[in-house]
Amino acid sequence: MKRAYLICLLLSLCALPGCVDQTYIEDISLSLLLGMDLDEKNRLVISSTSPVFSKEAKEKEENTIVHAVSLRQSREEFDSMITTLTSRGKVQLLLIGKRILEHPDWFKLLDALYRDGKNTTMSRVVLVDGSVADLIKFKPKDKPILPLYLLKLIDTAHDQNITVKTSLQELHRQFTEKGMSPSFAELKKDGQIKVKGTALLDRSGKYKMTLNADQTKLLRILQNETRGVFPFTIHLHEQPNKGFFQENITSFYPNFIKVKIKADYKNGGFVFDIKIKMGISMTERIFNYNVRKQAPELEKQIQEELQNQIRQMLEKVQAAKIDPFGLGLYARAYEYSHWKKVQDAWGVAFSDATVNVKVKVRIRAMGSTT
Amino acid sequence: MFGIFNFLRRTPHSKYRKSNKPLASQENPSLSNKLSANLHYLHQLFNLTPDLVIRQVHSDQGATYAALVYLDGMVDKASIHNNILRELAYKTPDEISVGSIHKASDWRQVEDAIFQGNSVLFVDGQPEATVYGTQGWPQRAVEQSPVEASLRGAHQGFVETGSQNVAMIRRYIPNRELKIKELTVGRRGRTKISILYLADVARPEILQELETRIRKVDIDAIMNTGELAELIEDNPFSPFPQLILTERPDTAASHILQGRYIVVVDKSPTVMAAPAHFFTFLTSVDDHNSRWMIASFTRILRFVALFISLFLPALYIALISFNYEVIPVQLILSIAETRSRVPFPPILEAMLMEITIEMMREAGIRLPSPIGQTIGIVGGIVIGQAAVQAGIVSNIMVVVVATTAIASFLMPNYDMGAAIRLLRFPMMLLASMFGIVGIVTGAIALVAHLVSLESFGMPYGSPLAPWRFAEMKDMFIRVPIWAMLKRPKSTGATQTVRQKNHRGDEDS
Amino acid sequence: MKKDAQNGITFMQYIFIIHGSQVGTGVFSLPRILADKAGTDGWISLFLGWGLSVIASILIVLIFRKYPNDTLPELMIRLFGKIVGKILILPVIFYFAFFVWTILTSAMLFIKQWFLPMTPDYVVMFLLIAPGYLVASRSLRILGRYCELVFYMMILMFFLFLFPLGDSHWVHLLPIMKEGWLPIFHGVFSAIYSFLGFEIVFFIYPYLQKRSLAIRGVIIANTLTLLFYLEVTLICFAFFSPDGITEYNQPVFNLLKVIDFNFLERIDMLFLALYLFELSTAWLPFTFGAIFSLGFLFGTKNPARYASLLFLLIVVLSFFLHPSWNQNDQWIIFSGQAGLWFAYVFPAILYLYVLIYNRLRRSESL
Repeated sequence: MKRAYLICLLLSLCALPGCVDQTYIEDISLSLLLGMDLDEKNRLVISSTSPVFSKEAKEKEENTIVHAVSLRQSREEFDSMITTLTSRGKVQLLLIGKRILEHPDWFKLLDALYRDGKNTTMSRVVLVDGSVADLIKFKPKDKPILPLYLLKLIDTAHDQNITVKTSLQELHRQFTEKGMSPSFAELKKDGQIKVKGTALLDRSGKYKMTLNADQTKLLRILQNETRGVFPFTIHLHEQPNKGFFQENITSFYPNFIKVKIKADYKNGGFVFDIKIKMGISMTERIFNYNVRKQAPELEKQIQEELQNQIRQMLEKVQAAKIDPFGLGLYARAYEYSHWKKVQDAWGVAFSDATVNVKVKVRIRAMGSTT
Repeated sequence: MFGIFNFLRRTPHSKYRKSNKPLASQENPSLSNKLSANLHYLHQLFNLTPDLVIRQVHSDQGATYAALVYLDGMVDKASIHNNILRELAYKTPDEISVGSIHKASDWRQVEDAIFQGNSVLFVDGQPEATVYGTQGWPQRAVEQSPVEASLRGAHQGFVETGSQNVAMIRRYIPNRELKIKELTVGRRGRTKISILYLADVARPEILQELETRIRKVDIDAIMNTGELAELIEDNPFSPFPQLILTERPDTAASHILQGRYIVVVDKSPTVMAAPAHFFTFLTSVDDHNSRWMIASFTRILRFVALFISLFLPALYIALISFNYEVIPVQLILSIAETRSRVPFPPILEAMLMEITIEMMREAGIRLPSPIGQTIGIVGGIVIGQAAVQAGIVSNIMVVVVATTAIASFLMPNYDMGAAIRLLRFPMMLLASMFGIVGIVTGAIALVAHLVSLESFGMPYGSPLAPWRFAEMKDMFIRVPIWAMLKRPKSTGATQTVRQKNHRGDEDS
Repeated sequence: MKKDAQNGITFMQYIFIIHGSQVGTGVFSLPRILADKAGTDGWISLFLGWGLSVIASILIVLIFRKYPNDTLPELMIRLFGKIVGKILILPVIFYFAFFVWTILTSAMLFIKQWFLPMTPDYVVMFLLIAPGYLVASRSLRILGRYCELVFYMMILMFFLFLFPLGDSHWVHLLPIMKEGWLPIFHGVFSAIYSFLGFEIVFFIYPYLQKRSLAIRGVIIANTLTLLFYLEVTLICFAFFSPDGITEYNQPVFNLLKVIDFNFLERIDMLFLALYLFELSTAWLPFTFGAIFSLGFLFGTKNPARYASLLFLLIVVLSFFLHPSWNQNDQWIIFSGQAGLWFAYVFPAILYLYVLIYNRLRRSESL
């Protein structure tokens, strides 16, 4: 009798309310790309691109653009416009219009993306120079659907260190870390979509300046992020540059880069000593030179050129009172007592800091020709 | 899910104990010394038994002085004609040239002897009969077992005669420590059970337990080893087989050498080994017969297949109906595209395909092999392709189900393979109700069940639970045989050393 | 009374039961709490917490050295008499049962937040408990085997945390002891909560087959826990900015979100689901403690009955209470404080008591 009772109890378990949280994959409007922008009247515009799974549909992606006061509220708006449930678990890219960056503290708008455990924090954050709505309506015929195309674009650009790949997670770090300022990739659309380089922001989130592809490589090196390839093409001013074609060009890529950063406090200011060591492989040299015999001299010239470029970039960045390199981390690590006084205005303190950069280049391979 | 049913479990075999009604006559009179009285009683015992042959032997005076009784078809006729009947004319019953001769003094013995294919000689004036071992019933030739085929192992399989099976095992272990304990099971069936073991290796407590359990069985007859296994296994509510059934003498012998007990059931071509462990079901003879690296690779492959056949359909269901975040974007896109045409929820789709596959498998087993192959092709290719085109299932589901089916064919043991196939369905249900959490819950239940299961007092999950590093030499990978110096502890072997290290000092 | 050899646990099982009961849901938020209290030096607090918990667990072992065949309830009765002893067992039962309840509710809340937001509480609770019943209804030996197996299965988890190493900035940790010792001491309190669980020694010590190794066992178990916590904490500190880490409730999940293989993304979700294994080894030993004492109180030893009673109670409670995150936090704090008294202070007092008791008895007998 008791057993029969227990069996009934067990059987009743089969009627447990399961399946409540079920949503089938084809019923989800998978938002792959999320855009945030301000329109002419300074209203917040949220846009979203999601793939269309039906074979009958001609368009493979659908764009939805709504006015909303926040990201989460926009989701309700989306749900009222499209037939399926909006999901942000797979957002690959977050496009931010340049007009937003004119205002400080926009970072707080992203709260919904961090709060909901189902959301991904690996979406790449990208600045769009121009209107986000324009960009997401762009449908190149010879490319895969836009979100995937942009994803590939940013990822390969990052592998070449032409731009940075800042995920939402990384962005959170950059915004909360007092010793650095945020930076992320910048795109521009003139007919074609192009990676412009890296946008640098101040700690409140306002746009400051853009580093181009070459400068981004140097930025990455100073950040001590030396993964990926760093193909350099530089002009050596000590080499002859006559004739129609610019002859003083040489290209190379480093096999390894080692960065050593030391922070010091001298005479009321921070002093950073950055030593960069790299072994390079030559890939191109247009001028006449015998690398086999005169390697040290060439190494020296490359060194100086790189140092020059870094110095120029540093000056510009310091003038903008920002620290995208995260040198503040080193200031905190090695000069904590001094850092503590300036930690809330590190950008200003950094603009007064002295940064000494020493590059040491060794040619490890010259290729098949001398 | 399994142990919960423990409460359902009655004390084993109580069902049979309750029926006290005698299945066979209880009284057991002894033989009379008058032949006619004996024959009369014999006629009473065996009425309506046309295959009983009573050959009366007459003396020179023409009077009946002896009678040979046997069951037609159960005896070796040549031996009866050439040895017994011919020699009776000039020899005493004890001098007849038959291998096994013994005396029976009561009717129970006589009856048993006749039923077992012996011939019984009654002599007038003697209160006992002579039993000649003349068994000779129709027999199958020794051939390879189709269920447990091997690539390189011996191609012998057990047959339906217990004594032959014992002999086949003995050929592998011609050792005086190989002991055989005989029992009889079944009131009507009187099936002879022989327990084979190495007296100096196997743990005596297990023998005791095994014997008690077999003795407790009170049933009219058992047909097959599988029935006996079900009657004596530890946890009848577990999906896992708890006794190793095999049709291969070499496997049986190797089990004995590892310290297990082999139970040979007469009339069944299968023997069983106890105690069993989960991982013994994932091994095959060929593992020890091929080179160790290849064998290890196969082992790992088998474990992967185990996981695939248990979890793959469930995982797929969970991922596409709950936790799609886990799938990379590109894959989501292609899955969603194939799914968008299917009108059913994933669980239904999966069940449809799984059940079709299981039906095809079941259909193929009993069909003659040429037709069986056709069924496979028709089922696999035609139905799968047509189902996709008809929009009933998605492409990826076909891939998933097919992979699962192939993976389940890798299980070397039929019982374990069947258990895994069965467990797949609750897993799929759990996945469809609770997603990944459901699968993990199912997995925890499975692990908890495996851990708590015991086979004759030995932990079933060994060497994983309890963890025994030393025994993992022969689990996920198979180390070279010369490195396996000890017998597994899991079987409770009392003599642990299996071989001396003969290669170890070559390196030093 | 000799504990039956059948039920004995091996040295390794002893270690893994203790280690398993220490590691629960606390580790998800541990880096945040430590960073809150002690900044990036929080990991030093872990060492101090480890030291304290090792001392406490050694004390427990030392107490039972004197009464090698007793579990806690038996010892209570021996020391305080039948009635007082049984009354003293009551809070112990409550303590263990409450721990089971808090671990399970927090596990349920995590599951609901990450996977099944709409599924009713009691269903999720049932899902968590049902497989555990298979172990809880059996003897300690089965629990030992289970904990051992799960530990080995979860070793992979240890390596999983190494993946975000590429994105971490170790310079965050410098300078070490930037604010001196004071914040570190503040952090110790949070650290010792996370080592709670070793009090299960109260119950499993007499079952250990080689009792001479008991002290070594508790040290190893505590060290394993320390290693795991240290790994998680250090990597979180290196990965998140020192100011940013406090903004995440469970930094560990944000850390795991970053890992993405080509074929699998969102490792945090998979991790949380698989972590249910680890969680089961946290609440099952506590369940054992609770039902063992219950059985002692009522004199019958049928773990299955008490287990089903306790589990039914928990499922029903979750059906009526609908625990929230904040409630659960309060419960965790409460059980942590209770644990502080029960696992750290109580053994010390008991040890002194036993010393005095023995001396008195000896002088009496003289």
